[in-house]
Amino acid sequence: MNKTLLKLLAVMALIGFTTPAFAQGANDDGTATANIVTAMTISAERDLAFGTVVAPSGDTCTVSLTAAETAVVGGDCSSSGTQTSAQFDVTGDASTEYTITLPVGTINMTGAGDAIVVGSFAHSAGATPTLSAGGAATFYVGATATVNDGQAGGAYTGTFNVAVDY
Amino acid sequence: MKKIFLLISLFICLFSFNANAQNVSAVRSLSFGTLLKPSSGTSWLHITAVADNPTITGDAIRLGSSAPITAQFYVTSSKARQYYAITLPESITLKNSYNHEITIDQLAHSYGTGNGRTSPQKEDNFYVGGRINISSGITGGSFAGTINIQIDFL
Repeated sequence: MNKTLLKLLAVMALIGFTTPAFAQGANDDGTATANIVTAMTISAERDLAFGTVVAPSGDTCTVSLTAAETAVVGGDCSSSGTQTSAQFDVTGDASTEYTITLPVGTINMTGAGDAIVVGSFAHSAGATPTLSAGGAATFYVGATATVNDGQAGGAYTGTFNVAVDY
Repeated sequence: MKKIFLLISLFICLFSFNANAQNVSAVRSLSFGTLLKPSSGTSWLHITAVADNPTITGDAIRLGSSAPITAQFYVTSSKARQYYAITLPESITLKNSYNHEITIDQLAHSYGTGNGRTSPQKEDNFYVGGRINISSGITGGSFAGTINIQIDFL
């Protein structure tokens, strides 16, 4: 009986010696990530137009256009004609938020007389502009023009920069 | 009886030896950051597997700094001064929510063609890098996938 037990233990010990050869490995799953974005595009589709303004006499006046598809005209200048907010079309990654950067200060429209200052730029895209499922969006930009006392008549133009990014 | 006791003791010792922990775990991801999709064709970015600040090559345009580019980092543990071989997949696939795929190939580890070796403190670490290939045909978004690595102690 003791001999049998001895043999059994000897075999078990042998198994014990060989076991490490089968247990010398390990594996693990790591993670790989990448964020791929499509370059955004922006195009100006419609100008910011303050229309025809009657030059004030004795003080400055303002013409304001809200940032809506159909701008609401405000201010205390007498104005008429074609008055539109600016329209911008953008493309990029579907259903992705983006940012809009408008002029922080003012820009000048120049023409026959003193420059007309334009400021208070605003857009219609809200706090979290988001591209559609098709990767497109449209927004409008409004602003306020300050017309000088005795402004010389004529056409005044200027440019302003609008940027978009993710 | 003495022999039996001796064998039992030996057996217990061997089992204790087998219980020596051998482990590898990923403690940092392989991250390619934020990349601009090419307007046509393909672009690529290769992260070498050399250090915490890997060398980065390729023609893919990187955007921003909020998403860092890092090589994968693994920690191994076993007995002290034990050599081990590292086996990596040839390539892996990352997917986004649209099930679009991006391939990462040229996976390599920081020991190159050599083997790793645990320190006297029974630990070691190594890096894994690779090359991402971006096609203009994919939809952008967050892509993720897994890299299964195998280590075999020698």
